[in-house]
Amino acid sequence: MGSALENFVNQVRTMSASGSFRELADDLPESVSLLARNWSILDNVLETLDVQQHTLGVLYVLLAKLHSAATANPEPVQIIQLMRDFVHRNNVEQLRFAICAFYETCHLFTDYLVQKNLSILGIKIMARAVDQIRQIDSQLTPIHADLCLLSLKAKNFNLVLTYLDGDITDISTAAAECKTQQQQQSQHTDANNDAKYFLLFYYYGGMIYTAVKDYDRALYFFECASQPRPMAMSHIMLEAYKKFLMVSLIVEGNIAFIPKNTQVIGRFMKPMASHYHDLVNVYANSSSEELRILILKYSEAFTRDSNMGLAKQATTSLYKRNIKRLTKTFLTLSLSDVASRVQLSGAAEAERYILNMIKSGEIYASINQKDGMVLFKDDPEKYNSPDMFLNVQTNITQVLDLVKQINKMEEEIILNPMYVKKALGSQDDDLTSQHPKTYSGDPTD
Amino acid sequence: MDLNMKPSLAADEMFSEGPGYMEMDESGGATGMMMDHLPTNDKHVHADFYNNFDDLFDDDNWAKVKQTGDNPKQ
Repeated sequence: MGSALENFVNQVRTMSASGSFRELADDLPESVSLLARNWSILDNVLETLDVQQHTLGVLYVLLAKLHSAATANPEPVQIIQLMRDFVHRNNVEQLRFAICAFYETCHLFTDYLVQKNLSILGIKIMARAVDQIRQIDSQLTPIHADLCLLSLKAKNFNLVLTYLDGDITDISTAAAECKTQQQQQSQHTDANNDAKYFLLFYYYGGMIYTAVKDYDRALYFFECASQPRPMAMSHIMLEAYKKFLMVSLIVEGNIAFIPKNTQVIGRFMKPMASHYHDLVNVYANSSSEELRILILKYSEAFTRDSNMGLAKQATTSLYKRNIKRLTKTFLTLSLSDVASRVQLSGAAEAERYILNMIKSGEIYASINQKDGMVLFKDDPEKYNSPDMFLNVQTNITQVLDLVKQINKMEEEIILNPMYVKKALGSQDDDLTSQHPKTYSGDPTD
Repeated sequence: MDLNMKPSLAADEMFSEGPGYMEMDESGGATGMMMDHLPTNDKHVHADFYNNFDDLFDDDNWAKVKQTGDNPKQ
């Protein structure tokens, strides 16, 4: 082992033994390039360190290994085993001194697995990493996005859904975690990435919910990913906005609301998502045939965006919406009549749609196979059963809990010095704006 | 009146039609503060984000995956 590496090992062992973790965490970023240069003997370094006692040292060796993975070309099994061992055996108290390095290690590990097409092997490891580092269950961390990405690539959603289903009440950001000047200046800390990982979590999360057909939740996630008001146009927001439009059609049948960052949407997103806006406009005409023709026309663009499946789901939703509309007007109708009124290919397809809708509880009807007639019925729910009472009571309790949570969060925000500073700043702006200003350009710009 | 037709329904005006969503705050909060970090000199950001997925929303694709014996939704 070279003397520089021996110094590194000695430093880690000495400072860890004396409990000088803060100082060690401040010094270690300088060692990354040294470690990466010596990638061929990093396994020897690891042999001299113990994950539990020397968590920070092992973390930086792992980081260097992942940084040099492109040149060193290590065995994927070895990297996965090291990472698995690290997240199961590390000392979280020590890890908290180098959260940014841990986030970066997780990002690089995720990229590595995706590149090697081994995403499925990283899901449990990344879930464990999230469990370790988040301080409360409702805290969002930058590595949530990694967990979502691995799950999407592996098309395996069971585990990630348990992380997506809970509400987020707190966000852990690299900017907030890496408080020391030295860490902020280090090569692996980029506060700008906080926005990226926040948007990615909601974008990937929306994709996961769409894949499992939980469209209400998907709509909320895509809204969160296209809602913020940045100074620049984010490509993540653009892709989220396209999917937001499609899912909104499936859930609502129209675009019930447009996210409020109107300037960015008007200037950048609308022109770049014009095919999707055309689709929204045609959908509003309720003509399945026109919608089908439009999707065929833009099929190349939708396929390029991997949104062709969503376009097909939107078409299906329009057929269903039109069938549902019939139930409000007719008591009975023949299957062929249904098919011609909603522009389906024939009675068989109409029957398939109606059976699916009965099965999912979207409509109440029965089909007489003999004469091919459909009898539309009213919703049998009378809202007078003990089960329904329990259901309503549970919902009320949930809403009251939510109100309590919101009040608590509001109180915390009002007392947050950053908020107070920002609020006072905007008050100053308001006072300044009361003085007349001269505009030299277009005031709407 | 056509026997196959339902009588027209009176609109229930107790519940207004609409999305039922609460609008998020206009000027940011936590997400707004985070977005302040985005570089202002660059009009387009995050162009390199990972977005190379199969079409996960196409039922035909899922049917193919299921035929191969792997059930990803399990």
